[in-house]
Amino acid sequence: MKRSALLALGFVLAASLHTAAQPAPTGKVIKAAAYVGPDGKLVSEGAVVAIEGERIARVGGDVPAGTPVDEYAGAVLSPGLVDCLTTLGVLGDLAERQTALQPDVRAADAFNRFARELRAALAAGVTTFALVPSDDALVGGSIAICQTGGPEGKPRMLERNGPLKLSLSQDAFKTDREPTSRSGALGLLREALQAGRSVNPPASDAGAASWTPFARGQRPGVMTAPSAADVLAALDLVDEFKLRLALIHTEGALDIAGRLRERVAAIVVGPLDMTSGLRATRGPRLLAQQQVPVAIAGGLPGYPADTLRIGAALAARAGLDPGLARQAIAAVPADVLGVGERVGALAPGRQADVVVFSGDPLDLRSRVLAVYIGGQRVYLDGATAATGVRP
Amino acid sequence: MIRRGARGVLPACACAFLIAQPAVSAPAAPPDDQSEVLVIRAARVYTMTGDPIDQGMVRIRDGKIEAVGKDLAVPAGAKVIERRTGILTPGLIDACCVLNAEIPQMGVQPTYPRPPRSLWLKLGEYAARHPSGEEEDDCDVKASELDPAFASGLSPFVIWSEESSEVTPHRLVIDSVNLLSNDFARLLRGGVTTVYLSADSANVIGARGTIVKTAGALDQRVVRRADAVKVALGADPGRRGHANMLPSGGAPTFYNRRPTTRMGVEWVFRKALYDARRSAAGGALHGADRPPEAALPVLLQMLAGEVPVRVQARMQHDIFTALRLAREFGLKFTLEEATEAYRALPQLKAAGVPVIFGPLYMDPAGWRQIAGEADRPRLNSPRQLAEAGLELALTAQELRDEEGLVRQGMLAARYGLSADAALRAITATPAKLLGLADQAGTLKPGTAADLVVWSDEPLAATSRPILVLIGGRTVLDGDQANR
Repeated sequence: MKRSALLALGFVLAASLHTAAQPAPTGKVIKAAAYVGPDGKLVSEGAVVAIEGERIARVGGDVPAGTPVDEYAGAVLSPGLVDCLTTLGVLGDLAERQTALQPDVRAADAFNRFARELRAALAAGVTTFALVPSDDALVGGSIAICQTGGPEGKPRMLERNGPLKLSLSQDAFKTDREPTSRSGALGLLREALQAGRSVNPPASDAGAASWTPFARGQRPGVMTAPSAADVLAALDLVDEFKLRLALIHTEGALDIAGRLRERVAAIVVGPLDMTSGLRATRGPRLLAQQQVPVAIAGGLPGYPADTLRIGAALAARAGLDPGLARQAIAAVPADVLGVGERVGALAPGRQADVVVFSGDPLDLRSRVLAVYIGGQRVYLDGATAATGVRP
Repeated sequence: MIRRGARGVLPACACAFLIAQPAVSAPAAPPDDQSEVLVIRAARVYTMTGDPIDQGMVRIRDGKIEAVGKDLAVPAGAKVIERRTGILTPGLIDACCVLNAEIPQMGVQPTYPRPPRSLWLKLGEYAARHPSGEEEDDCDVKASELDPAFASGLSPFVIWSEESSEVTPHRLVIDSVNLLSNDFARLLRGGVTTVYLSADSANVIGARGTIVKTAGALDQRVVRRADAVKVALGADPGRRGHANMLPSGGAPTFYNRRPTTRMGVEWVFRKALYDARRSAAGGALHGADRPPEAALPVLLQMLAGEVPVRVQARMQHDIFTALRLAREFGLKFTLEEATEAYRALPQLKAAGVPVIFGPLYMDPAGWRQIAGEADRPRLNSPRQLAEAGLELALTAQELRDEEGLVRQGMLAARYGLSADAALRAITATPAKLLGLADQAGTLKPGTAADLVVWSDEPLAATSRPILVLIGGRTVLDGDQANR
């Protein structure tokens, strides 16, 4: 908490310095009927987000005279949605099959910022997404954190070296390289973690520089753990090596929710859609009851762009607190990706990524009216434009 | 047949009762309000340390057997379980269990590498494979109905061993075990409370087995993470390579295997151990079939007798090979499967090799049939092994339910093994072979209260477990016949 408060302060300072250096008024205000507060709850008082440059300067309060205002009558302001598990905009394949352990591979190198599906994601309110190496390697490389738009109007890279991606999925077992089995996979991972902890990597060793901090618990990772047994195996690794790990796991909360508290950073559930069973949709609630942070993934582009919001709505319908459900598609996935201090909430100092919904984001009838990334409106719904919102 | 066997020991039994009543009793523990006491009454109690006790009682304190006898004091506040018509035995122990896969292991298909697909296509498939499940609201651990089988083990045709080398003693079976698998519930319904889970026979020197309980709190299920190394002799390690069975070969994968012959299998085994010695002496390794570096320390521990060794051999020929290799390297080992052990009795006796025999069958099926080296089985093998004075445990390996462990005992008794010896071969002896003699397998005071109450004499054909306790906690209650 202290660290985050300090960081937030830093951002505020940086933002104010930035404005001091540029006397020309760059600020603007977005005004609506309600907004999603830091705890995920809807706040209907003072739905005003003041923006300076790329960042949010203030939430709530009055609109200073002379500041340009984008006003959306009756609308709800939400932080830009974050999908922490996608293959959006991938050029080629995210399955590097050469070896099982490749911490120095980066998904950023496969990102195509001109991909057309990015526009569909933007129109669904997804502003930040993770490009995640596939499950075909035990250690698949660094996740890239990208945005569907930017102040220049083009999609952009937010963080090239995101968390490390790991996998205990069967897809990591191959017939032409080690491991071929789960025994081999876990044995290999433990050996690699032990080796990673024991070496002091030379600065020139890119691989060790990526792996050693993870093996020492200094760098976050995200691990696919499809079954409850995989989660138990991952917990053993967490306990043995003090890893900072979020797990991608959808089906087994019923079996293992009680063991996760304070051992995993978060559980990434999803994608959830209309075909998901109760075992999956009730997972987020069971996890939340155990104080485990839950992120819900949308699975873009394999699933429709709305799946992120549908997943949160299904989880809320299955008993997850609505505030937590809204956080599960913004603040928590941002934390999972290690960019929780930059995006994922409407708070001073955060990047001004704002989605204007016609109603509660959890209400599937609500439409996306407009999307702001880095303070710039990068999407405006045609019907809304016709009502005469400031162009 | 159990009755016939029991009649044989009755006179001795009566004498023992006259001399040594109460049969077994620990010094009375000081009264302690904190401890949990449980008393079970049954029509007969098999202690496996002495004669059975009719109208016996077992007193359990804090999950451990405290006393066994005829008229034990029942402390105030003790919970009493009455099973006046039931027959009580220690929980059964399978010393060479092989887990069943619920679905074939999808990730390890004996084909060419699959074409890469998007992550989300796979996740979509994954979601499709998992229909909606239970509706319970609590978060307690329970057997998962829907866990994919990748973690649960072996079926006769599916390979799950690590195949990147013929020599993988540095790999652990426990890593492939899904403790939430329904297979454990099936074992439990057969009265099995402790299992040694063995690696399969795909590697010449395979992974280290593990010992787990079949039920109970997850944290207490694993008794020993890494136990014996499995050595497979004979046709299995060579023939298990799928590509080797195709005359046309196939794409180069780990499934194109060497060795392909008994010569090769023996060579790989000897090379691994000689390489371990060579590397310990500072020499460089060279040539084909080098063991992985991480395997070398475990191989040295095998040579030093610090890691137990098990050898699977079916034919007389392979049993002799095992004995010869053991002499060459000064190894102690336990023989598994041992279909033709009846043809090597004097040699096994001379070497003092314990045998984990089984399963019993008339005609081999599944993999054993394919291997072609199990076509001379004898149903009276257990009797012959016992009469030769060998230490004998019975195993059902991958078999469950009607063919499961208790039925191995029943069949062994049917073909001449005494009922007492048959029961011992699925309780006390496997416990001893696993180094658990003071923890399980008997009702000796101080051992864990793993016990089964049967509806009839345990080896009777219609007998079923009606109550199972592990560590003094009820894990199965009621007749499971119709479940």
